[in-house]
Amino acid sequence: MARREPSLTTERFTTSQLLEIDACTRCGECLNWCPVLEEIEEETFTPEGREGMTDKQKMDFSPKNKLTGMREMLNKGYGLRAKLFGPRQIPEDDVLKLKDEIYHCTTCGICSTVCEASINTVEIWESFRRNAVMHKRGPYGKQTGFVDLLASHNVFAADQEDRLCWVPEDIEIKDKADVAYFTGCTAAFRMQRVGVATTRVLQALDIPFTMLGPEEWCCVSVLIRTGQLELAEEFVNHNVNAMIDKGVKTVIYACAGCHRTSRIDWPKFYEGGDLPFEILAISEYMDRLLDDGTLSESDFDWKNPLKKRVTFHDSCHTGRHCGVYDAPRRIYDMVPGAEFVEMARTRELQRCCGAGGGIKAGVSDLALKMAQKRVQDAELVNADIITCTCPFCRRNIMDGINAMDTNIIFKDQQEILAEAMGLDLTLPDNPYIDKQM
Amino acid sequence: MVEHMAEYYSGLSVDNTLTFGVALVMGFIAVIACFGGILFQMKKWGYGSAGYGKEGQKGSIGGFLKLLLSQIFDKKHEQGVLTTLVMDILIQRRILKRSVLRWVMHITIFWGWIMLFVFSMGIFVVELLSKAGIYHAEVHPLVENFPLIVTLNSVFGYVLFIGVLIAIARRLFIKEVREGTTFYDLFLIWGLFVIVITGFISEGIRYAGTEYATALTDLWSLGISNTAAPPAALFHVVISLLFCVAMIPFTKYIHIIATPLSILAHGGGE
Ligand code: HEM
Ligand code: SF4
Ligand code: SF4
Repeated sequence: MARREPSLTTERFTTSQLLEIDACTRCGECLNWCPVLEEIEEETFTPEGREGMTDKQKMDFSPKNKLTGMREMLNKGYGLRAKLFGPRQIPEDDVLKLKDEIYHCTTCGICSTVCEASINTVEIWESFRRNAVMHKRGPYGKQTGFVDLLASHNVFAADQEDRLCWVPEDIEIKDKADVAYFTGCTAAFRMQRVGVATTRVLQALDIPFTMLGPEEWCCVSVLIRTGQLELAEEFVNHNVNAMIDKGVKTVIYACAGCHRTSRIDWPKFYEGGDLPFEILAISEYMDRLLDDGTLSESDFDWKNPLKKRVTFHDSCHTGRHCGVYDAPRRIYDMVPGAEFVEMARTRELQRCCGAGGGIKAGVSDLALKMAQKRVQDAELVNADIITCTCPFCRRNIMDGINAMDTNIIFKDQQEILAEAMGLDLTLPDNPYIDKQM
Repeated sequence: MVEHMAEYYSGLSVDNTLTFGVALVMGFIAVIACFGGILFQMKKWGYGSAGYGKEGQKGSIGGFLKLLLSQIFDKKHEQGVLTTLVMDILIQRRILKRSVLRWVMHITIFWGWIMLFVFSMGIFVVELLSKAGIYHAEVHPLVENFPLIVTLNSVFGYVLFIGVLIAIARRLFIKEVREGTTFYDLFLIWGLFVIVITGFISEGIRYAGTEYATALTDLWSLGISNTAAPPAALFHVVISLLFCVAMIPFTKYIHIIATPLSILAHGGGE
């Protein structure tokens, strides 16, 4: 008789991840920080099909219990008893429950930051999701739609030929350059104001840059975060090769999601291994130019002092995942008139806005609740503007603001720069004007 | 008195070769179970893939070690392996950063346990040498030839005890921690508790009625005469070998292997 397959297999987990699952000491520190668990505990959000949970059951959504759940299930399939008597079957409903718990996560990474055992939880969640997709258990809710949408090479099923339709006529995009600006799907089709601001600022600072245009395909963040890897390799190779064709040495990003994915995930899928160019958040790039003297503060030709209290939301992806904290702050510090205030939780202990990890698409009401929490953080320090370096955070935080009674407004970092420099942010007419968020 | 004078530091008598023999055999079994179990676990980890998003391997210990070592010695880490080893594993600053109480709890358990482990091994070797006639002790019990070790042994015993008491108290009295506690957690801390307690008791019994007895050891002896020293010591040794060595790979003890490796693989840091 053929041996039965374990109910949860080790497929897609790396050897080190299997070790890390056994490394959790169940110290409980991550429970104090997980923003999803917080909403579930406070009952501002209840996962579908889990109404009326006891306090103990709510804990199943904690990073600690997710790791324990995986450990127990894996041991049933690969432990000593399983090796002697065959894998013990786990009811499919139990596996699906764990799967739902693991999809209720924005991959914010704070559980990894505070983990006393240094476990890279986010990548373990991602491997589990990948395993779930392989076994037709995942992804979650509307996340299934991503793969079909990406037939168009962007997440909005828009026409790739329109990828640069938002670029103002007087902006010069070099054919080849050392620096490329990777726009990302959101800025290209739904938040073109961020794209316009970024290109205007670059041009005003005399930084020559190129863009991939129709050859810029989705960075595949949505696929990697939700465990749907089928297209990842093809997309990553396409983007990397397109950059090589343009002779690019540095790719800069005004989107935290694309930034993180390119920096951390692309090398895992690129056929050549390490990328032949550098990946930098735009603030990091400017910080470097200021340091090496290529750029000086006087190059920023300020026209409109801001006269507002500004607070900065570190995105999970550029912040915790890539460790970029000081560079964006240095940029805000230069803006004349801006009164910069920090929220209680910033930098590596920042609170996630709720957009990432497929939550905005998969569990949108959870994303909205989390966004409101972050806006409240900003209210507590009496900020007028909450700012960030991520169009995806922008979208979610703006949804949060709209659902609340508050005077706070959101502005992207590049918008703040462009406005203070008196640059024109009018969008050229294009087919996506009325889809702007 | 002399016929019951305990040779082995924890009280196993030189006359009672059966007791010593049992301890020796148990020691062997425990060490084999421990090493076998660690190999088994490494093989289990070896079912994973050699890299992110790649195909799995069929339980390859080599494959497991290869990825682990490449991660530990990854040049992208912000600090060197040695710094991680000292700051994040021996001093455990990641715990300290999160909670001083839990750090005191763990650092005492950690150093208490390690030092007792080392001393036990040391005295065991002396015991073997003495049995082989290579080492001739001046004083009996044998262990009394090493007063510094005897003292340190007690000190670290209490250090471990303090940590274990904090761990137990934390899991009993803090509501959220208590509710999240499972058998997996309890086995580890209560197991340590039993080891520490039986250690103190067997030492108390060993000294009972001898010139080495103190008020404290008499308290721990529970009033039992030192004729019972060998079985008391045997009980302590067997429990320790089972809980502390043989069960390492199969219980939450696995963290004393997996956790430092995870910290090293990710380059530690605060
Ligand atoms: C080798 C390096 C080790 C590392 C990095 C490590 C790490 C940890 C961590 C992070 C915790 C959670 C602490 C907390 O609740 O805040 C823990 C728990 C624990 N460790 Fe270790 N450990 C190590 C070795 C040991 C050793 C040698 C022992 C001795 C038996 C030990 C015994 C314990 C116990 C009993 C707990 C449980 C506390 C509880 O459940 O409340 N550890 N360990
Ligand atoms: S990554 Fe963030 S949301 Fe996900 S489990 Fe960890 S703390 Fe919770
Ligand atoms: S912080 Fe890390 S070690 Fe502690 S319970 Fe959470 S995942 Fe486990």
